[in-house]
Amino acid sequence: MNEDNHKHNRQQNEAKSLSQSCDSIPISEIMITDVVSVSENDTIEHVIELMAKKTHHSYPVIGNNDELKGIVDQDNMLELLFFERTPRRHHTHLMAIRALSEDVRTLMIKHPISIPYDTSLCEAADLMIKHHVDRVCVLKDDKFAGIISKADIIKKAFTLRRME
Amino acid sequence: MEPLLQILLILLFAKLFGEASERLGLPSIVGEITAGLMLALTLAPENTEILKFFADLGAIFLLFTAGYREVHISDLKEASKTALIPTLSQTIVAFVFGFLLGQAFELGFIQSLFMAVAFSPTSISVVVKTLIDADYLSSRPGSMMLTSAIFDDIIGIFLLSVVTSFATYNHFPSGMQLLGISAKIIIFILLISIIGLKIYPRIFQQVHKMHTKESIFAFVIIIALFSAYLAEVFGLHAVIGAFFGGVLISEIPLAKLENVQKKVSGLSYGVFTPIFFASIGLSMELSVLFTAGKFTILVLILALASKLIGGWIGTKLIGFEWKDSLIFGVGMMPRAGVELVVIAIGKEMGIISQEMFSAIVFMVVASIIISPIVLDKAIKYREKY
Repeated sequence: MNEDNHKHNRQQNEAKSLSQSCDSIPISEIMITDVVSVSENDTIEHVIELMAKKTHHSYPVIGNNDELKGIVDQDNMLELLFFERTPRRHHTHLMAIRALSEDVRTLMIKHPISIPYDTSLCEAADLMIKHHVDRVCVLKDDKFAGIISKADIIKKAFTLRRME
Repeated sequence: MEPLLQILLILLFAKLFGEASERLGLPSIVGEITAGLMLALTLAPENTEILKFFADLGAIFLLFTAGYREVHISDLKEASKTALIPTLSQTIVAFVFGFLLGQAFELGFIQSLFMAVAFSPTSISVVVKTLIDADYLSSRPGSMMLTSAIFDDIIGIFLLSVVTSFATYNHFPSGMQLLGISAKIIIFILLISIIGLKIYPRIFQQVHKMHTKESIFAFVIIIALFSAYLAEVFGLHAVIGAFFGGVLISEIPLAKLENVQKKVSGLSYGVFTPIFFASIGLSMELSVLFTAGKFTILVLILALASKLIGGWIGTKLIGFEWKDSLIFGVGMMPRAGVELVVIAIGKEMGIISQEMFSAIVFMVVASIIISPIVLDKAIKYREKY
């Protein structure tokens, strides 16, 4: 009974204002868990095919034990595909090594930004707004649990507004 | 000339000449050094203490940014499996050539050591464009050059640590002195590593929640300055600490946010580093190159030849065909950032003479211009025969 009341109150609060109630909304509630991921050993051809068929901007790189190894995104892929056209100042040895990547291991951005599973929506939104981050990986017990993007937050806001 | 005007002019000249250099197909560093030289020839500014301080910050941020953006410790293990022998070979041969040249011209032990260290590092980015144009980036020598380049900054910093520590004495240190130098370097690395691995990640977890503007960016800069200062406390040069500071935060996701990286890069490559390179040109004396003409020419020839020979031997040892070894050796010839930091420090410490300073700056500029041309010829020769 108490639990039902609590849920009801929370829904009412959420409907009032997202920015007022975001502290009580855990990101686990709105994150995407059905994520298309890749592994370190996947070939670049495989990732190009994925990017051609799917519309996602980023693909988390997941290890054998579900740990987050890195992330590859469309920016990395464009840099690889058009490396020869990039300005000379980008021709560092690290960029050149990336351009020669044959698998995800050398292309991916290591240590992508991540947040714990129990982070509130407020904190996730603050992070995205303050640091111009479009999407963040979510970890549960140091294992990849999902991904949350600005679009997911906007979708949540839209749902809450419809409840008003 | 007022300090404000000096900084304004040096930055303006550096950017304009840097742009001209890029448009001529050369790295901007050539234009930036020329900018300083032109400023010295036309306006000859005096009382340049404040400008010098900005240049020192330039050297600190040059190496901090190298550690922060370009060095991946995890890649070193993989690279050492394939590229260790060619890297050590070209570095050792260059070091020996530099030292012997110093001795041949009767320079002191420390001066010769500075010459050796200035000969040793390589700056591969100068020839990446040539490799791309010749479609040689993924060739065996091309990929070996890139793998070898992973060690570049590490080797440069290691040698710099040794030479600046040795500079305290004007001779080869005794056993006890060597022990003292080693202990100092090891304790510094241990201390900064503990701080970097245990404390910095926690700091960034709190900093990103701060309300003040640009807090993460500010803390990245604070860490650069703190690391530089800590190195000075241990009697090492500030640039060594800055490099380690950069490496230690390079794997902290919050410190590597894309927009933070862009700001650090803007401050470093946009402002401080061009001032550093221009100040190198400003400190150069063209006339000395002519009075010490034989020395200057030998510095250039031996600096280039030592890399060619060392690179050739190293790759032959791991089974390269001789033409591929030649291409690798040529690719190792260009010098740029670290070498200039080495001689700037040597000059600041009063160890390097004006002749030696100007000759090495000339060698660096010439190597940047010559190396891509020679590499292109070597690749064409390889394809033709």
